[in-house]
Amino acid sequence: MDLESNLRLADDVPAVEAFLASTAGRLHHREQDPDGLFWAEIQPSNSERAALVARIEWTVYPHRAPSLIFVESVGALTAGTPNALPGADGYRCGPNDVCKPFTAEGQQLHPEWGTGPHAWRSTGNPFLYVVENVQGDIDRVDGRRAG
Amino acid sequence: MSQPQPHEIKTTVTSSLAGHPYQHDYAPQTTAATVLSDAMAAFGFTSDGTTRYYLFHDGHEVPPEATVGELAGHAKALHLGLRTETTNG
Repeated sequence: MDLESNLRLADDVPAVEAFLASTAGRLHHREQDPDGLFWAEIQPSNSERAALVARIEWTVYPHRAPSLIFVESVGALTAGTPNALPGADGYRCGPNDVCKPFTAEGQQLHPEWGTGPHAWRSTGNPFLYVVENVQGDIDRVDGRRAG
Repeated sequence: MSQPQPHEIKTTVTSSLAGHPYQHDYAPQTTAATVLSDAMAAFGFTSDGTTRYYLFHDGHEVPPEATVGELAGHAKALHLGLRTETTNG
């Protein structure tokens, strides 16, 4: 990851940490994690539901959408079972990806999203934008899982 | 003799996609729909059919018909988040 990306991430991460803390979630970046790799524990607003873990990996920040997959736990190397995914539209069990404009996977599947209203937005705090969107999607299905 | 106007409420709207908040003083009876529309214009966001924009307050989505006064309660200032829901592929 280039220096500019690291600097911009360092600026934006505190707001993401604060947001997740406000919803009883938590952002992790372990010592052994490469630059740009984070794990977001996302607690549904329905506190009876368990937190989900999103693996979020930035390559060029803030100019490219991150890879975003759901895993069983912080540090898990492979995509989780359907039970690790939210049961929301666009969160796909088969390939275990998030087919939304704010993910690298979605942008790769839909080259037409490269321009127009679905184009990646790099303004403001894109990390916070991604996490807010995922939190909203999870809460709209009351924290239900896909599996 | 006319009654004095109720105090306006200092309203701040933040968006993760915007570098700066939108701030405006609104009369208490102003609806959230109006605030949303104004904030979107200030941020340069336009409805395009692919993204739903909504306001968020105190852990909940704000109904369009809610008023600034209802949301602020007894407070003289109100902070709202502008959130988005994007369509999937």
